[in-house]
Amino acid sequence: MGLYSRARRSSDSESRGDGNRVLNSCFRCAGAFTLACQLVWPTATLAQGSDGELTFDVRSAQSGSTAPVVRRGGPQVPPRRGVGYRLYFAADFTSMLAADTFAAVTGSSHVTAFGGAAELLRVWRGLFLHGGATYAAPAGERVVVFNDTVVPVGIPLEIRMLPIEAAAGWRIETGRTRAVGAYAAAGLFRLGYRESSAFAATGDEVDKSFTGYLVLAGLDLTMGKRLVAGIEGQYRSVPNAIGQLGASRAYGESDLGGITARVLIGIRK
Amino acid sequence: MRRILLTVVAGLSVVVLARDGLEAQRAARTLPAVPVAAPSTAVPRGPSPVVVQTSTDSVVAAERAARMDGFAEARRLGVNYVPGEVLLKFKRGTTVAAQQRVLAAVKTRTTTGQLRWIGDVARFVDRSLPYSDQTAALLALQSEVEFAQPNYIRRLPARVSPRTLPMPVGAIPEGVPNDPGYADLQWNFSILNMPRAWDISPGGSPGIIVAVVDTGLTTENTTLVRTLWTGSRFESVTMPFQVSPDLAGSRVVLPRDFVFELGTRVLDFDGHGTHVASTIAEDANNAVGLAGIAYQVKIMPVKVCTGYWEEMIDRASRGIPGTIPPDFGECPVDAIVAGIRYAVDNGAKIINLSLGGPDSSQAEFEAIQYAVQHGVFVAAAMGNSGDEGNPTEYPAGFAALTGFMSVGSTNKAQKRAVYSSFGAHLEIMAPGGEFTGVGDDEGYVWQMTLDPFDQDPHLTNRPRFDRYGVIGYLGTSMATPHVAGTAALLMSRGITDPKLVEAVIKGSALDLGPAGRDDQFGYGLVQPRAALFGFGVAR
Repeated sequence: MGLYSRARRSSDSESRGDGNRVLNSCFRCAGAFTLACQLVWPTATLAQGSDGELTFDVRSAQSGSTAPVVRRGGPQVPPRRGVGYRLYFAADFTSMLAADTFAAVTGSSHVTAFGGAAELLRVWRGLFLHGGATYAAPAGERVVVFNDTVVPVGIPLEIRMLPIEAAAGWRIETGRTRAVGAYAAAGLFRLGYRESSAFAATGDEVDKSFTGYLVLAGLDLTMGKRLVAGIEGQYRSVPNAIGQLGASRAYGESDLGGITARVLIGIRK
Repeated sequence: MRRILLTVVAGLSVVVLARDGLEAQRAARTLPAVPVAAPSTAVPRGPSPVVVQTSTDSVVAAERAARMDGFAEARRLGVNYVPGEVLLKFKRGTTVAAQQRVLAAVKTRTTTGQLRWIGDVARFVDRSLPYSDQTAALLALQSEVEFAQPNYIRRLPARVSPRTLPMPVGAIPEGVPNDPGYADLQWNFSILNMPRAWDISPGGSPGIIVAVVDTGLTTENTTLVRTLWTGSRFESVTMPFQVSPDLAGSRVVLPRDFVFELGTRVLDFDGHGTHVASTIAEDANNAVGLAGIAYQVKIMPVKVCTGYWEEMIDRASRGIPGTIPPDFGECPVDAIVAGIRYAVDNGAKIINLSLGGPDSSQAEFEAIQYAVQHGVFVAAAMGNSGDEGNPTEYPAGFAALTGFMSVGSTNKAQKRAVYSSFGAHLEIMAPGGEFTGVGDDEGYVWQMTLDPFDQDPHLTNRPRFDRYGVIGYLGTSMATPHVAGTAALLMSRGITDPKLVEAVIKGSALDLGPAGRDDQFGYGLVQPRAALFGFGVAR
């Protein structure tokens, strides 16, 4: 087993500078991710290098050593790299803030979406720009809600949600090959929201767009030269998007956002 | 004031009549109750289907005469029950001997064998004990008795328009039924967005039966020749009856008369029952008359109320001269109970009760409970006493029963009609009309029913019941069938549990007045379209 250690921190980690200090707490998150990696790649070992960055030491893992790996010979500062990118496909699993409403209409308060994103990395130091979109089409049935009673009326309801997101954040990459990345960002998204069903008359269908905000944080792991996989958590909010009519009114729920767990796989450079 | 009356005659001929105005208020038609089979031996009884005795003419005549005597006595005494009649329920397991001991407590000659049974409720009759409230109180003291109450009399909370209307002619707007009166007169359906509701459930399903427990709906074309007092002497009067020209006979099933003829033929001597049935199920899109809400469902006419003419016929048959007050009619609770149980046991899924009275009846409560427990939704009128002291009326007062709804009345402006009773037991509102004098409809609820001028005692002593017209009524009697019809549409869409039907109707109602439920509007105005269409996440 490899261990996660903090042997020492470099005082001359000039290439990280303030960014590392600001995002120091992300290392703790990286610790958790490391443990997860141990489950997936039990022969791999992560260690923190002399410059304070996490390294991914396969050799120690292969040798079966359990001792922390401490780099010798002084800090190793990777050469500064130019602007990179990350492209990925994503699967989102969102627990809707309007949980009761979605549970009543779709039978679940969770929504699954698929999509993708593109990111420009190292725009300036750790700064990255993020843009992406996902698509969800949960199937449901129109209902009448009275107190705690939900009565489906037998008319299918199609819901389509297409959030287009834009965000900016800070990313750190660790390891000798910068294989592990941790990042956090905040931004806005535009949510295209549609509801349609049979027997709808003029004004019954919903086809609107709402602006919401999101914050996200994630970890990824680069495997080989380009392949990247990761997980990400998001909090999205679209206040006052619903709640005036419909089942959401009965529940007093007005936010079309949610808490999202995203699994991603793609390429990066 | 002269009024123009255009009546659609049975057979669809049209007659224009000029009439002097007369505010014919039939605020109360009451009708007598019907006899049900008496058990040959009074053994302990549990819930059981109503079995209507096959009555011979003499039995029917005797029973009818007894009822009419009871009503006359009620008028004389000024009481709201049938004198000498008590509805009582023995505790389970009470033996015949014990039942007889109970009866002995009131020093009656009536034996257990003479009790008339309606399910597990016995109708006790002893005309020598006219003050039924006192008799019931004595019986209730007996340890073997679960409850004993007078056989109360219910009324029909409706008022009829002083005129009929000519059938509108002209272009029929797109998207509405082609019934000629729909666009101009049925404001109540426009408020409820019925055309869009019919997109989802076009008139409901023929498999759904709605029981109209009321004055009846004429089920056959026939002619009665009866002796009537015509003001100065008895005369043989020919009274023709015809079925409604705008409610297909094939959709009228399992009729039952519990108060007058006591058989399977039902004749409406009043028009109230036909108006109510028409609101629920009048034919639509047939280019005749008006439309009903659930124009595909079946109607079960259950006659539990009698009116002026039934009583006049009975009096004359017994040689009693003279007349009775013209606005009189009775719906005894024992007949209502029998009618409800009959409807439940014969496949009705919805029961409409456009009747009520100020006295709570446990027998009536248990009958409604029996209905709900057997999957039958029940709607009842709140009453028309909102501007007359607003007493709680029953059966609407039993609104706490889930699957049973009390219905108040709104006007065209979607305000509570001034007459509509209100209170903590009010659950839902529906259009019942309120006189405005504005427009063709004048604020009434219009449906095709018997032309009231053919039976108005002020105008004729030779009534006929074969001519139908577009007639305006108002009252919570008229509001109630809107809810019953909505329930029929919902059941046609597969929502068959009466408790869920109530939840849907409440959950889809248009909130009126203060936000949320209130005593003036209940949960708001019934919205058939919203109930059928339901709601998505956002809309």
